[in-house]
Amino acid sequence: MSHSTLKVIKGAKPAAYIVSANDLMTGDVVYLMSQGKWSASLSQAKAFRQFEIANQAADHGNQHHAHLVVGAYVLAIGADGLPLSTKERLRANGPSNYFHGKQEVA
Amino acid sequence: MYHYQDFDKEFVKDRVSEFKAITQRRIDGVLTEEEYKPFRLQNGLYLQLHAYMLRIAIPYGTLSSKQMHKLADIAERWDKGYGHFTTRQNIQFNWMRLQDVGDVLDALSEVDMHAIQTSGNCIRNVTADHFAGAAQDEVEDPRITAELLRQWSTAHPEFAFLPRKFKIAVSGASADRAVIAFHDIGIQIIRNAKGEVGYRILIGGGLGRTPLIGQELASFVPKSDLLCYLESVMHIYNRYGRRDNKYKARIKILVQENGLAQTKAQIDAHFHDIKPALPPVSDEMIAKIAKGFAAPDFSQAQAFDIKATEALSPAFAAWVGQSVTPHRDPRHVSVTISLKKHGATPGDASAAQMRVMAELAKAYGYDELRVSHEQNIILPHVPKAHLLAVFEALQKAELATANIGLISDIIACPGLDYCSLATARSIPIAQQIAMHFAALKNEHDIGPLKIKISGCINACGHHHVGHIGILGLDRAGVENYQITLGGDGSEDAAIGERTGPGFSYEEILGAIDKIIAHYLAARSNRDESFLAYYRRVGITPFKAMLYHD
Repeated sequence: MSHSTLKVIKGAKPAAYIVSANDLMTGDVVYLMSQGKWSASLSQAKAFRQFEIANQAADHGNQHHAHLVVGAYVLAIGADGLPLSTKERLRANGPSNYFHGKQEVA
Repeated sequence: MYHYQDFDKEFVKDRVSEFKAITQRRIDGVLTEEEYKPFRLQNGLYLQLHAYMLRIAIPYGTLSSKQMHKLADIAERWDKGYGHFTTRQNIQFNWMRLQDVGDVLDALSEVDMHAIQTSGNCIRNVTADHFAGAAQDEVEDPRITAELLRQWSTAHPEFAFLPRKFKIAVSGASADRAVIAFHDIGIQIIRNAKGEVGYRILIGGGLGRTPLIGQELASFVPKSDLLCYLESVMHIYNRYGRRDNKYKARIKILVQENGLAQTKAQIDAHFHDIKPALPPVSDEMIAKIAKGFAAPDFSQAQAFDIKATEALSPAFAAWVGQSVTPHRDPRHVSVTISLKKHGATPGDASAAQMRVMAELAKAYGYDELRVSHEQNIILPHVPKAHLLAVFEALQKAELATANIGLISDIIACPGLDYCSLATARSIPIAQQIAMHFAALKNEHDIGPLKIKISGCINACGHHHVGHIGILGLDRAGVENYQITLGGDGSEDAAIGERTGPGFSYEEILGAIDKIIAHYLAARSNRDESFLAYYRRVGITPFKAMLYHD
């Protein structure tokens, strides 16, 4: 089962749902794309209209992609395509204390 | 320096081989993540927000220059060129790759280091006073006891699956610089009326979601009885500690729910049961360990008047004023190296900085370094005559910020920037506060002040014992920061009191600024520290100023 918490910023309405995990080998944040592959880029994430469908995709990822990723789960995004929680924005962008991590390779 | 015995070296090498083999099984798909996770955690490997994090044990915070050099090598070769020193006197590398971790552990084993028992429900790295062996007020070097406990607790089969993690701190002095009152077990080395050296034992202290001050379990335990006594404590905890709720599983909850008297009676009864069968800690055993902590030969250092060199430069004088602590040998001092340059991440050191510190320890510090729980590095024994040279080298490496014990010497956990448990960011708050008061150039005027920031209720940033504590929480997906005042991790242990509703990420700096402005305006004189002022007036004026003005 995925561990979706779906924390969203107060008042914000989810426009869609995406599936995220960490890459098994590097630990990098990754997102599920359309063809069932995983990408480090948030912009390539497959958007699901319904939470239940996204959750099924996350469960599928945990069962069948365990050799590739760790801990697939669902998160909500807004109309702008960005995650609706502070935590997920930090996962997408990298640490905010100084320029390093994901920002360097973006 | 204490050196590992052959037994330790073999044990560490075996663990590395085991780690490599089992990790390969995970990579090959033989093990699921659920099967692999408990194993990697037992070897200090976490999966955090952005990458794997490896937590490396630094027993009682003591490092040789060779070990510090090795950490620098690891930072450069396998991480992003830096490491993060923690409030548990350990170091964490935030950007590990799974396939590299075995090689990192191999590299660590070359210098007698490892990541064993830095996670999991076991007895964790035993911490100690960072001025051990140098402090003027010391009864005995606490690292001798801490090392005894390391040997006893490492891979102890009975304590590998405790109800929850277990933390022990040892202090050998009257001043508590190891926060012993906030550990599962706090040990203070004392001398009794007969002049015998033994242990005062505190139990049930802790931070986290239920902050409690440790209570005195035993006023004096003879040295020979220490392991038998602690074995009894652990047995009772293992037997009666709660396993139904992880938030109530620490020993502090057992003591709180059953009361100190009942817990003590159970421990004492077990102690008397097992004592006849357990060999005491012998003088020979202690002496053998103590040999590894023998003080360097201080007699070669020349007497030197620091005042003469202070006149050379105001920057040097300011640094001496904050960073230098008197030593038990009058020809030496202890130097605290600030890892809190204004605007930097508290506790971070680059590989280059690690090398500078290692070389300074080698050249001027009898090859010893310490990690403090306040996320700074200590050169415990520096001849006064070399102080200027040390300062100049630190200055070149951006390690000479004269802010030890001041408002910008902030403890901050990794927070939401790295930690998967965090609910809010801590580091950027610390950065903002440090930069703000650096710009105002008033931190020396503000005087001694400890700000401690945690990014979640688990309190790795020790916010409960900050003179000003900041706790970052998640309120409907948005970061929110509660403030506590009056906490104290010293021998006058106190838990901070909450001011009231929290502040947003954008508001928290303004709130801290108001608190400081109020203190500066209302203190009776410059000698009344923030904590002394708070203890005199209480929280009421701060509440009024924060919420009603």
